[in-house]
Amino acid sequence: MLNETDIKSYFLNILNEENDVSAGVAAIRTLMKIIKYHDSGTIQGLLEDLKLGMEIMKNTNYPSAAITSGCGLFRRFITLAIKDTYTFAECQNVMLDRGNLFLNKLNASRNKIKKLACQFIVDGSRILTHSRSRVVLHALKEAAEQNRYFEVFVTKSAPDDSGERMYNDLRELKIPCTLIMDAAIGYIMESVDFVMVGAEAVVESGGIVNKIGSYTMALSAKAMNKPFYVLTESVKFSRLFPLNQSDLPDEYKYLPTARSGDLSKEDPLVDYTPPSYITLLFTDLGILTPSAVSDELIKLYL
Amino acid sequence: MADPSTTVDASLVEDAATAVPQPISELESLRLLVQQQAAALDTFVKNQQSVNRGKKVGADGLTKKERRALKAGAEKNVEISNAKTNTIDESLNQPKNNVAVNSKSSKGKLQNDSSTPIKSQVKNHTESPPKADTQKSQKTLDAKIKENEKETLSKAEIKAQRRAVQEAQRQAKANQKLVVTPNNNNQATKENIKQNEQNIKLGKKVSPKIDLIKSPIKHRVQLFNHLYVGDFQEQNLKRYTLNKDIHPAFLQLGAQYLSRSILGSNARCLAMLSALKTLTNDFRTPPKQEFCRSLESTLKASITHLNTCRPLAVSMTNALRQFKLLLTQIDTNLSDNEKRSLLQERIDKYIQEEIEKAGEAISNEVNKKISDNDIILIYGYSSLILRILVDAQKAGKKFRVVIVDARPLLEGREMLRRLVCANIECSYLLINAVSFVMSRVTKVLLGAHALLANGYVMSRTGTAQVALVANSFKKPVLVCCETYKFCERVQTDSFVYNEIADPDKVVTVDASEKSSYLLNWRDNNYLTPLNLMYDVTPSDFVTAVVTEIAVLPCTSVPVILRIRPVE
Amino acid sequence: MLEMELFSDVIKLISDIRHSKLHNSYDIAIHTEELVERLISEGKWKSAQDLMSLIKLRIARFISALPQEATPVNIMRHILKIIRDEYDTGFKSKGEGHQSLHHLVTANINDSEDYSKLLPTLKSSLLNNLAEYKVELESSMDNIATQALEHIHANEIILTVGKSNTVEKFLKYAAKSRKFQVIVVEAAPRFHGHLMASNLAKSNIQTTIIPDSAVFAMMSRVNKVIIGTHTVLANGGLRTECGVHMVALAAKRYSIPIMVLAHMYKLSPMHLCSSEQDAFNICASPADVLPYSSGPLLNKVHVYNPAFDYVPPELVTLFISHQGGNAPSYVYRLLSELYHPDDQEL
Repeated sequence: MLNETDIKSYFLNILNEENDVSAGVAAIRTLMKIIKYHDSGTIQGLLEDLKLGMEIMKNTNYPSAAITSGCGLFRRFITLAIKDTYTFAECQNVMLDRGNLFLNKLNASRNKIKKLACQFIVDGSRILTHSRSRVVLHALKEAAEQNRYFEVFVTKSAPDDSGERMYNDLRELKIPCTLIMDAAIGYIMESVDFVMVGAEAVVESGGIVNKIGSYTMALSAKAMNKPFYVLTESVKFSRLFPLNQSDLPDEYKYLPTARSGDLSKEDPLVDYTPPSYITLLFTDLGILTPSAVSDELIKLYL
Repeated sequence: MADPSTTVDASLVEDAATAVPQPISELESLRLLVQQQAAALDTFVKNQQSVNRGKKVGADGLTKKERRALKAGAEKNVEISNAKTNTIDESLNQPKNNVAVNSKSSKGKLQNDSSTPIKSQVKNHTESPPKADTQKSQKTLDAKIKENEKETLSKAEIKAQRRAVQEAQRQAKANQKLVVTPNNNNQATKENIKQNEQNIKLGKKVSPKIDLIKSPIKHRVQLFNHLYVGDFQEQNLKRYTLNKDIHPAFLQLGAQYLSRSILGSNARCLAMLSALKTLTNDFRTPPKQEFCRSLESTLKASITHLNTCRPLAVSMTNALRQFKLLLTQIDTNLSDNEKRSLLQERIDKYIQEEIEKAGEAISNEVNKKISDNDIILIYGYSSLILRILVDAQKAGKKFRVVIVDARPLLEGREMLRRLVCANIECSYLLINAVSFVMSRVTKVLLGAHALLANGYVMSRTGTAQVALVANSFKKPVLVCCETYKFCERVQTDSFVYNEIADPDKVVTVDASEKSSYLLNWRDNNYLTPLNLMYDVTPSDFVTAVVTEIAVLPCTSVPVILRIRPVE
Repeated sequence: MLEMELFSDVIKLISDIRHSKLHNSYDIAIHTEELVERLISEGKWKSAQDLMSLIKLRIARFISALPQEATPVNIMRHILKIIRDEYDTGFKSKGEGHQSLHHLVTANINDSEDYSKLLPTLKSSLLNNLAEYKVELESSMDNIATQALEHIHANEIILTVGKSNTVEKFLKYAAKSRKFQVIVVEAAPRFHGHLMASNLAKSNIQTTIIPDSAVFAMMSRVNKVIIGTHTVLANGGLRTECGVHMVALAAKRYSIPIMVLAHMYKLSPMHLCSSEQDAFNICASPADVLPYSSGPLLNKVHVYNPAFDYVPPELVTLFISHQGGNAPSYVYRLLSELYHPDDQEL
C-alpha cells in the first residue's frame, strides 16, 4: 500500500524525468501504481485509495485540468471492468491489463493526431500558436520532416514564458519561427493563415480549457475569419460544462498555493474557449467538430 | 423644299442632305418611317394589357399628361440649324437619317402626331369609357392632318400621309376591340398597384398572388413593376422617332444611350455636356424672348427626350442642376454671344474641375495606398479606376490586378484590354469565382455610379456582391468617387430605384457552341428574365470612400453634401 | 491476370464519367452500385477480407484518376461498411465503431480487426443488402421531393442556383399544391440555370432568371434558398458549383435560411485542408470565361474558371436527405453511420 508521500513523489518523478509525458498520462500511471500495490482486498477500499491519490496529485503545482480529466476517464474505465469479474485478485489483474492497454493506446494517440494535423499544414502556411503544447510541437515536427515550408508565430505567454521554450524547441527543429508578445495577437492575426493550439481539457460543450490567452486568440481568429484548430488527445475529454469564465472551477484556474488566499486579485492560469470559436478538433478519435465531442462523452458515460 | 412654317436655311438643308452617307429618297425614307410607326403601334397595342396604368409616373418624374403638355408647348417654331455634324465620334447611321428627314419638317410633324393619338387612346382607356375617346382622338388626328394639308406638299407626300392615316385608323379599330375586353384587368391591376405600394412601404416579402392566378401580367417581375417603361422592342424603335424640337445632338445622344454604346456615368455626363455645348452654340433666341429662359425650356425638352431613352444618371442630373443655376445667375446685360461664350467656358471649367482634376486628385490619394506586391481586385469598367491603375503603373509600382467581370454587360473585358495595353499584369475571371481568388487579394477598388446620402453606394449590379465577399475575407474595400456624383437621395435596397435593361441580353449567350434554352422565353408566360443595371452596396461593406476632397469613411457622405455649394 | 481483372470495370466507369456519358450524380451512383454488385456475385473472393481489399483497390484506382468525383468512392465506402456489419452480425461480435471513447475504454484485448474468417452466408446476405441499398438509392430523389411541402409555404420566393435534378423535382412536387415563385441564378459560364428555368416554367412555376451579379440585389426579398450540392464535407461544409458561396454569404447577411438537398452518397469524409483549395478544386477551360476570339490578349492574362466552391458549415441552415432534415453540426454522426472509421482515410 502506497502512502501519500510515495504517491506524490512517484507522480512528480514521472513529470520531472520524462519531458514528453503529459500530466494526464502521468496521473493515470500513478493510479495504476496505486492499484498494483493495493492490499485492502475490497473494491470499495481501492476506489477510496484512488480518490485519495487524485486529491494528492491535484494538490501539486501541475495543471489540474489534465489530471482531473485523465483520472476521471480512468475511473470510468475501472468501474466498467468491475462488472465482469468475481474475485478481487481477478479484478485487480483485469484492471492492470486494461490499464496497460489504455496507456498503450494513449501513447499511440499522439502519432495519430500528428498525421491528421499534418494534412492541414501545406506549403506556405503561416501558423500562430499559443504557449507550449507538446502535441502541437509533434505535429509541427512531423510537417518539417516532410519538408514542408511553413512559418510559425509563438506567443511568449506570460507569466511562465512557456512560449519561449516552444520557440527554442522550434528553433532546434530548424523551423522558421517568431516570438511575439501576447498583446500582439490582434496585430498579427491578419497575416497568418490559421491558429493551432493544444488543450488542457476539452469540456462537454465542445469548448476547451487552455493556457490563459487562448480565448483572446480565438476571438481574434473569429473576427478575422481564420480557422482555429485544437490538437488534443482524447484522454483530456472531461464532463465539465462551464457556462462562462467565472463558471470554471477554481482548482483549474489557480494553483493550490494561491487557492487559500484572496482569489479576486489572483491571475488565472487558464481560460475557457466556447465551441463557437473552434473550427476543428484533431484527436486520436479523428477530426471532430465541436458538436461531436459531446456525442463521444455521452456515449461514454451512459 | 423650304417650308414657310419653319425657318430652316435652305443652304443648310442642302448641306445636311449631302452630309448624309446613305442618301435615301424622301419617299422611301417616309415609307420606312411610316412602317416603323405602324409596327410600333402594333407592339404598343399588344402590350396595353400588361401596362400598369393609374398613377404611372415615368422616370423623368412626369405623368403622361404632363409630358404631352410639354410636347404640345414645345411645338413652337424654333430655329434649328442642322448643318453642324456632331463632334462625338459614334458610328450610328440612324441619327444621320434623322437629320436628313428632320429637315423636311412637315413629315416630322406627321410622325409626331401619329404617335400622340395612339398614346392618348391607350391612356384614356383606363380612365374613361374607351369608345368615346377613340372618336375624340380620331378627331384630333383628323384636325392635325388638315393642318398639315395646309402646307404645300407634293402628290407623293400626300399619298404617303393618307396611307399613314389609314394605318392609324385601322389600328384604332383594332384597339377598340381590344379595349373592351380587359376591363376586369383594370381592377386587378389597381389592386396590384395598391398591394405593391403597401408591400414596398411595409417591406413585406409577399408577392401579389392575385395577378398570378387571374391574369399573369406578361414577362414582368412584380417587384419591379414600378420600373418597367414598356416593352424593349418598342423602346428600340424609339430610336427612329424624331422630334423636330430637339437638337440633333441630343437625338443622337439619346440613341446612343438607348443602344448602350455609351456606358458609365462619367462618359455619359461628358457626352451630355458636350451636346449641351453644341446646343448653346447653335441656339438662336426666338424673337421677343430672353436667351437664358428660352434656352432653359428647350433644354427641358431635350432632357425629357434623353430621359425617355434612358433614365438620367446622377452625374448628369447634378451637372444639369449646376448649368441651370448658372443660367439663372448669368448677367442679363451681356449680349447673346457673350452669354454663349461664358456658358461654354463654364461648362469647360466644370468638366475640368469636377471630372479631370478630381480624377487626378483621387488618383494621387489612392496611389499612396498602393504598395509593391499588392494584388488589387476590381470589378467591371470604371474610367476612374483605370486612370488610378495606369498612374500607379507609371509611377513604377509593382502590382497585379484581378479583374472580375459579369454578364450580361461584360464591361470587364474592355477594362482588361486597356490595362494590358498599359502593361499591367492582369488576371480575369467571372463573378462566380470571386470567393476562389479573394483569399489572395490584398485590396479591392470599386467605382461608383453615385453615393447616396446615407452612405450607401449605388453602382453596377454585382458591386455589392464583390464588396460582400471582400468583407467576409476581411479585405479592405475602397470606393473611388468624385464629389459631383454625390446625391441627396437615400436608398436601402436595390428595388425602389433601379433601371431595368433589355431582358434579351440575359438570355443570349455569347459562347459559340452553346445557345440558351431560353431563346423563346416570350412564348412562356411563366418565364421572365430580369436584367438589372444597378445595385446598392451597404455602407458597412466599404472601408473607405476616396474623393478629391478627402478619404472618408462611408458614413461621412452627408458632410460632403453639406460642404459643397448648396444648389 | 488479377491485375487486369481489377481495373476493367473501374476503368469503364472512369471513362464514362470523363466522357460525360454519365451526367448527374444519380446515374453515377447507380452504375457504381451495379459495379460492386457484379463484383460480389461474379468476382473471385473467399473471405470478407478479400472482398474488402478488392474494393479498396478499386477505390484507390478511382481516386487516382478522378480525385474530385466523390460519389462512387462514397458508395464503395458504404458498401465496405455493409460488408463489415454483415461480417460482425454473422459472427455476433461487438461491432461498435471502434474509435469512440467508449470503445477505447471498454476494449477487449482479444478484439480482432481481422475479417478473414470465412462466412458462408456472406455472399447471399450481402447481395440482399445491396438490393435494398439499390432501392434506397433509386427512391432517394422521390423521398426528398416528398418532403417539399414541409419546407415551402404559399407565396414564397425561392432562390436556386444553376441546375440540380433533385431541386427541380423538389420544387415541382411542391408546385402541385402550392403557389410560389422561383428565382433562378443563371450560373455562368456553364449556364445550367437556363435549362433549370425553362424546365420550371414548363411546369407552370413562375420563374425569373437573373444573372449572377444580381444575387445580392434580389436577396432581400427572397424567403428561402434551396440548392443542391456536389459533395458534403465532413465538417458540414459543402463543395458546390462555383458561385454558391457568394449566394450563401448574401443569404447570411439577410438571415435567409439555406436548405441543401443532399443524397446520402454525397456525404464524404474529407475536409478542406487549406484555403488555397489545392486538392479541393479543379479549374475548367478558361475559354468559357474569355473566349479565344479575344486574340493576343490571351497571352498576357491569367484566366481562372474554377469548377467548385467551398461553403463553410456556418452558412448552411439545413441538410435535407431522404431520411429527413439535419443540422450541419450533425453531419459527423451521419458520416459515422455511413462509413467505418478505418475506411475514412482512403
